[in-house]
Amino acid sequence: MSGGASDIKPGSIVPLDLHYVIQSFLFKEARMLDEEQFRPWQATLTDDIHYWLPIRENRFRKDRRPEPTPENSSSVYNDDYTDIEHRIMRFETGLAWIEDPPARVRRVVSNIEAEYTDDDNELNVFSNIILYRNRRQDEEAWFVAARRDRLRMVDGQWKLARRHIVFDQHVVLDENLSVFL
Amino acid sequence: MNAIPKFNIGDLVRPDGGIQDRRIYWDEDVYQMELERVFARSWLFLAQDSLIAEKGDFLTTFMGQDRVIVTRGQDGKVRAFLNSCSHRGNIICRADSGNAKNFVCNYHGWVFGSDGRISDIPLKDEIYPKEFDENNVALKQVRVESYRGFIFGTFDDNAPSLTDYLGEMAWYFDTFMDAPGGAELLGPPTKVRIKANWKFFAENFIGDFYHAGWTHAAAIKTVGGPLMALLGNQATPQGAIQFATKYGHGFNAAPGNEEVYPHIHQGHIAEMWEDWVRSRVPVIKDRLGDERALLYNAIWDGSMFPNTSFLRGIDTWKVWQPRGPRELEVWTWTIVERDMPEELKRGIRHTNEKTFGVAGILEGDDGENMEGNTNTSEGWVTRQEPLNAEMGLGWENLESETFPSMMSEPGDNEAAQRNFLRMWHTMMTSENWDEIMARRTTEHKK
Repeated sequence: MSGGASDIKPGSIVPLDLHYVIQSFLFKEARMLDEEQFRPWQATLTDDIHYWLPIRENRFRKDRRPEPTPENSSSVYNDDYTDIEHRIMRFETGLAWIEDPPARVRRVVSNIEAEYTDDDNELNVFSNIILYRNRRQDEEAWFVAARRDRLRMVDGQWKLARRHIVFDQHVVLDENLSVFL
Repeated sequence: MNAIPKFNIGDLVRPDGGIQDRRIYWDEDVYQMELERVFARSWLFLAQDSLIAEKGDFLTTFMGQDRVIVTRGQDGKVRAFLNSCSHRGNIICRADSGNAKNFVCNYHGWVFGSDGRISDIPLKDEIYPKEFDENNVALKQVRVESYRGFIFGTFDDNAPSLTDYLGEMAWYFDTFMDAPGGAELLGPPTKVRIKANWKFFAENFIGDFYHAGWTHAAAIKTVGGPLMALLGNQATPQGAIQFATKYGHGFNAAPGNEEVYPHIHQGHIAEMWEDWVRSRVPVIKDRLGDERALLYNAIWDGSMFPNTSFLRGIDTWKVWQPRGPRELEVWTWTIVERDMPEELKRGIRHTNEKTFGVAGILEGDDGENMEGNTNTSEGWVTRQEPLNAEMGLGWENLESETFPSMMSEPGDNEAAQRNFLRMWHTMMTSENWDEIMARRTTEHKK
């Protein structure tokens, strides 16, 4: 990364050239997933990836219970590298009939912010995503979410080390949420 | 002109349960009658003790399409009542869960206590007549009973007790609910909306081993481990048996016998799970006897009539919340034993979410099937064609000296589905619980 640790303030935004690199990373990731290039996508994940989509209960604002964590609450995704590997393997069995004929899926990624962290090799990256899924004859779903990502530089490549998905439905309003956001 | 009756409800399911008219999974009139005759009269799952453990803890849920608040009062007692203000009908509580002493309607500020009775009406003395009786505007109470910490409610005061309603199922539930420490649910539930009739799911869980190796082939090939034997429906599960109880509940069980039974946990959690089961079997044997030790070490899929289902070995607990004849919400918790180590509980929750959660690698397959089962009935001609559940017809009703309830072999069998549908038919055509009880007593084992 450009610049030594000493002159980088955690939380400050990255310069334009680095922002462009991060934006390209997220756009390419979205395209790979749209095109079902799961193995090349998987290669952009770190071995210790945590891919988490907690459910968001309707709670009163005054509710003093702690925020949900993977340990104390329910999730839609709470995946490590092996879990993601299983999801991809399932797809590759040739037996995943609910994906066959394939759905039409398009991701639109926006509101990208990249910030330095206290780790010289890692960035916090924020983005929003709209995912449109159209399957069978006429089944439509729109999923909207924010992503709080941690990207890490590994051997000269940016990789996704953590994705916390803030999903904007409580009751999931389509048959399943079997798409990577 | 009088409306021409479209059908006689009693004709929609053949008496042995083996043939069904598709309108029971499609028709709005049938559905409205279901809300009245099935959902408003059955015991429905509301909560489990650990989900509302503290005084004041509450959650909101549904009984059929009736919104209810379930709360533990300051006296420690769990009560439930309609979540609809008795003044102008508004929803009283809009949170899924929390802790509160009172529930205040947002419209005019009427305050209801944890017993559903009025505790305050703003300006009451100035604006209501002296004769106004607060007792008349208490929220409609749900009759609440619990079994081993699992809390159920019914709107029907004439229903049998929860224990009687569970009947033989209570004996089977004890296999894990009466293990030392008992069972508990991990929440909050995940929720997903599916365009299907709720009964297809209840039937699928009550006895459909048959679909597992076929519908879920992709996931089983990926993570099936000991479930691989089922892949592609090449074999029926070894030693599997099916149970069907008096009031429509039922399940399949495939015991592991000498091995730990087939499960779907992975890696370290699989080892912890197997160690747990091995260490637990002798305890269960000692406490509950040989039969339930056998069932403890078995994979199960089951349903409690009408709309609660569970799996053992994946350890999911589900309620099929109806949203009309062609739509439902699937609510999913994780069921664990209270005495398990925290790490194992978390691992079980993870397995459940990964396989039978909203993005579960098996769950999606079921949703797709059930939508297809339902939506084809939009065709008028299609809707006239009956559906079939005759697998194993005539083989059920093995009398067993060791197991209560009707029992069938092999596990690939639709006896439990037929029994579920016959219970549904009985409720839909009976005037009251006296009649339901009398009819089920003679019809259950026919």
